[in-house]
Amino acid sequence: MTTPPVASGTIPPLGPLQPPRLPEHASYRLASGLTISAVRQAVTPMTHIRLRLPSTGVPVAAGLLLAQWMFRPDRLVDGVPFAERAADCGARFAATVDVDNIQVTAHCLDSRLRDTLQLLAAVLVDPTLVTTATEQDLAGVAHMSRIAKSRPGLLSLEALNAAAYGTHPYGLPSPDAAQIMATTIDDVEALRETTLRPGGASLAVVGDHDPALLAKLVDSTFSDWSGASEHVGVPSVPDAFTDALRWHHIPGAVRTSIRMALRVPRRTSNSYAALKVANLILGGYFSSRLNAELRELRGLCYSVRSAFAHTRAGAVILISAEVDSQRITEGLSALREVLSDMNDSPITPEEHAHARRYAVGAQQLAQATHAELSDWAVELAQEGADLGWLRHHALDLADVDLAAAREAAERYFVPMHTATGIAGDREAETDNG
Amino acid sequence: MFTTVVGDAKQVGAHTSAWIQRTLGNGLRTLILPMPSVPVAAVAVVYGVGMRSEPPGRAGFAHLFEHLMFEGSRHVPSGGHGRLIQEVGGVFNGTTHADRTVFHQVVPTHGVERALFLEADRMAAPALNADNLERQQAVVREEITSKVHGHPFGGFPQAQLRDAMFDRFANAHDGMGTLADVKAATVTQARDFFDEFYSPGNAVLAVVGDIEPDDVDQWSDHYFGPIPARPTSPSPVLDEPDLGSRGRADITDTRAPCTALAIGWRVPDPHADLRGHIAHIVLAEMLGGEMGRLMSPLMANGLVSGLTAGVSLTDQELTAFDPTGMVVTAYLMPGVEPDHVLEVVHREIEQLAGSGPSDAELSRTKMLRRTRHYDQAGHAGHVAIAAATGLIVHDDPALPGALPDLIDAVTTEDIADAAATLTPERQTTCVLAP
Repeated sequence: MTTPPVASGTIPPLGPLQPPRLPEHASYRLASGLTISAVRQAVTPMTHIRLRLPSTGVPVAAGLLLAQWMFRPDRLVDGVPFAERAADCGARFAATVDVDNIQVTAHCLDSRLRDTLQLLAAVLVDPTLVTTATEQDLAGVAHMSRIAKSRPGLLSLEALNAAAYGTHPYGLPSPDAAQIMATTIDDVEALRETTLRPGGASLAVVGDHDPALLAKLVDSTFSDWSGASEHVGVPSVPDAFTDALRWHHIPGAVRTSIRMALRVPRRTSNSYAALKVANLILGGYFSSRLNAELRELRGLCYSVRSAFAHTRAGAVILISAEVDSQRITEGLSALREVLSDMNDSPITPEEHAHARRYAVGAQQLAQATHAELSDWAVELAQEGADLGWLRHHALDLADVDLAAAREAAERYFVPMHTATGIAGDREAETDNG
Repeated sequence: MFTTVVGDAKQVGAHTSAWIQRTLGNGLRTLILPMPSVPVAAVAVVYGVGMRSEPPGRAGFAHLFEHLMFEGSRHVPSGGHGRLIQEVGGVFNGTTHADRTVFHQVVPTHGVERALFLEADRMAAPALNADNLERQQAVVREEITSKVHGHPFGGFPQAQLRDAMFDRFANAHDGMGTLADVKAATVTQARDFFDEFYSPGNAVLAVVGDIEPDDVDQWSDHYFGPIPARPTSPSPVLDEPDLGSRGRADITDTRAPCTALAIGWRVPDPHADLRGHIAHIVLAEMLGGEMGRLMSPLMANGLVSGLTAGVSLTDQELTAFDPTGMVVTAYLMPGVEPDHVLEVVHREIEQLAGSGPSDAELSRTKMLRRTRHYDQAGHAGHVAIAAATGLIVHDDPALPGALPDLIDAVTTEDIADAAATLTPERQTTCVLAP
C-alpha cells in the first residue's frame, strides 16, 4: 500500500520549518451589516476582491441569471459600457452562484482600487440591472446549462445532492434549460432586490493597501448601499447521511462518475484538524489509501480523491472517482472497502506522521497568492472567523496525534453514513457480461 | 495615469532583470530568483524535449517518458518522488508540451534542498525498467481514454487543427499519443530517449521564492554537479512552408452537446519577428478577450455560447518554437451555421486590418492582457517554469517576464498589419459536430 522507504542517509535533511507567516490583516463591520476583511500583501501589483452575498434557497434559475447578468459587458454604467469601465481599471469581474451564495470574484491594479470599488458599488445599487436582457440572452444561458448538464461530473454531483439532501435547498439540481427559459426578467429583478444587500454579506480585499484606510474607502464608496439579504438563514441538514444512492443514466458513457459524501464537523470545530489529517490518509493526497487501492493497485480509475466541501449548513467530505463503466460495481465496493478499512486497519504511525507533515506544509502553500488569501478571507468570514484562524489551524495541525486521527476516522468514515450519486452507463456491465 | 500604472509594477518588473544565471560544468543552466514576499519556493526543471521530438510511430512517447520520470531513480524507489515531496506538504507535477517537458514542485522553504536532490537523482539515473514502463503505459492509456475518448470535444481544437494545418509528423501528430503507439513502447526506446534528450546540457533548473541564492548554488553544485556531461542531440527539424489555407476538416463527435468551430492561422516566428508575433498575441485579446470585437456580434447576438482566441496552436504563448499559430474557437448555438460565424469573424478582422484599432481600444486591450500576466506572476511555480522555458525556447530567461513591456510597445499599425495576415486564404478551419 505504501512505497518502500528510501535508503537512509541519501535524502538530505529538511531545513527548519518556518513558522506560519500571515500578512497584516483586519476585519471590520460597517453599519450596513457588511463585513470587511482587509489583507495587506504586495507580491504583485494586483488587488483581489471577493464579495459573498447569501442566497440559500433562492429560485435556482433566477439565481443563475442574476449572476450571469450582473457584470454584462454591455450594460451601461454612467452611460459607458461596463466592460470599458472595468478595462480602464485593469479589472475583471465575474459572478457565480452556488447553494449558499452569489459570489463576486474580481481583481484590478492596486492603483485603480478606488475606481474599481466605485464600479462594483454602482452595479450593486443599480435597479436597471436586467432591463436590457432579452429572450436571446435567456436562450444563451439555457444553452450553457445544456452543455454543463452533458458533463458526468456535474450530473453525478446533482444525483448525490438529491440522495443526500432530498427536498432541502441543497438537494436541488442546477437549473435546466426549460427552467431558465420560463424565468422572467421580473423574477430576476425581484431576486436582485432581496439578495444584493450588504446585511449578511462579506467583502474581502487583498492588495497593497493599509487595512484601516481600506475600510474607510469601502465605507465611503458603498454609502448608498443598504438593507439586509433575505436569504441568510439555512435550514439544518442531517448529522449523518443514510446510505442513499441515486443514478443518472448516460447511455454509452465510457467513464462513470461516482460522488460519495460523508457529513463532518465544520472548520471551527475542535476535531477539524484531526479530521483533516485522517482525510489525507483516506483520499486527500497522492499517498492516500484510495489512490493506492483504486488507481495504483486495481487500475480502476485515473483519478480518485476526497476533499472537504464547506457550506453554511455544515461540511462534508466528498469522494470523487471516475471509473471504467464496465467496473462500476467493483469501483463502488472498493470505495466502501477503503472507508471501512480506515477503521479495520487503523491509521499507522507512519501514515499519521506523513499526513501531518504534509498538512502543515500544504497549509503554507495554500495561502501564498493574493487570490488564495482573498478566497480564505471570504470563506472564513462566512464561518464567523477571520484570517487569524489560519495561524491557529497551523498550530492545531502540528498537534494532531495518532489517537486523535484514528478517532476522527472511526467516528466519521462509516460506509453506512454515506450518500452517493453516480452518472454513467448503468447497463455497461450487464451488456458486456 | 496610464504610465503611472505601468510604473507600479515594481515587484513584477524585477523579474525581468534580477535572475541569477549560471552554467555548471556539465552544461546544466541554473536560474535563481529570490522573491522574499512569497512564503514558499518553487523548483522547476525544464528539458528541451517535447511532443515534437517524437518520431513517427512513437506518438505519445515524450508524455510517456515524463511519467517514467516519477517511477524512481538511483536512490529513490518507484513513487518515492511524490512521497518525499508530499511529506513536506509540497506539490509536484510533470507536463509535456510541444517543445519542452516541465517538472516542478512548490514546497515550503525547508523542502528546497530535498526537491533539488530529487530532480538531480532522476536527471542522473531514472529507473527505466520493464515493470515501471508497464505500469506507466497503463496509466497513460487510461489518461488518453479519459481525456480524449471519454470526453466531449476531446483534444479540440489544437489536436484537430494541427493535423489539418501541418504536413510534417512532428507538427501534425497528437502528442497525447495513440493507445497502439503507447502500448508498443520498449525499455530500450526509453533508455535511448533519456540518453538523447535528458542530458544536463538540454535542461534548465530554476528556483524561485523565499530562498538564499548562495544556499541554492551550493546545493545545485552538490547534487547536479556530479552528473556527467553528454552530447545533446540537435533540436528537431520543425520548419515547413506556410502553404496557406488547408481547407475545412469536418469531425464527428457524438458526445459533443453542440457544434464547435475552430479557425487557425500561422503566425510569425517569434525568433525571426518577435514584434509581429507579439502583435498577434495582442490581436487575439482584441478579438476574443472580454472586451473583444467578436464578443458583441457573436456572444451578445446569440450566435455562440463560448468564444476564445489565442496564439495557442502548439503551446501557450511564447513557449514554443515556430511553427505555431493563432486559434479562434467558437461553440455554436443550435441552428447556427459555421459559415455565418466565419463571416462575422472575417468582417471584424477586415475592419481591424483596414482602419486598425483606436488608441483607447488598444490601451484597454493591453491593460487587460498585462493584468493577466501580473496575476500569474504571483505564483512562484509559474515564474520558475516561465523563466526556464524562456531560456530553453528563446535563450532568454527574462523574455516571459518582459511580456508586459513587449505588449506595451505594440502600435495600432502593428495590430492592423497582423490582422491583414488573417485572411480566409490563409486560414484552416475545423468543424466538430455531434
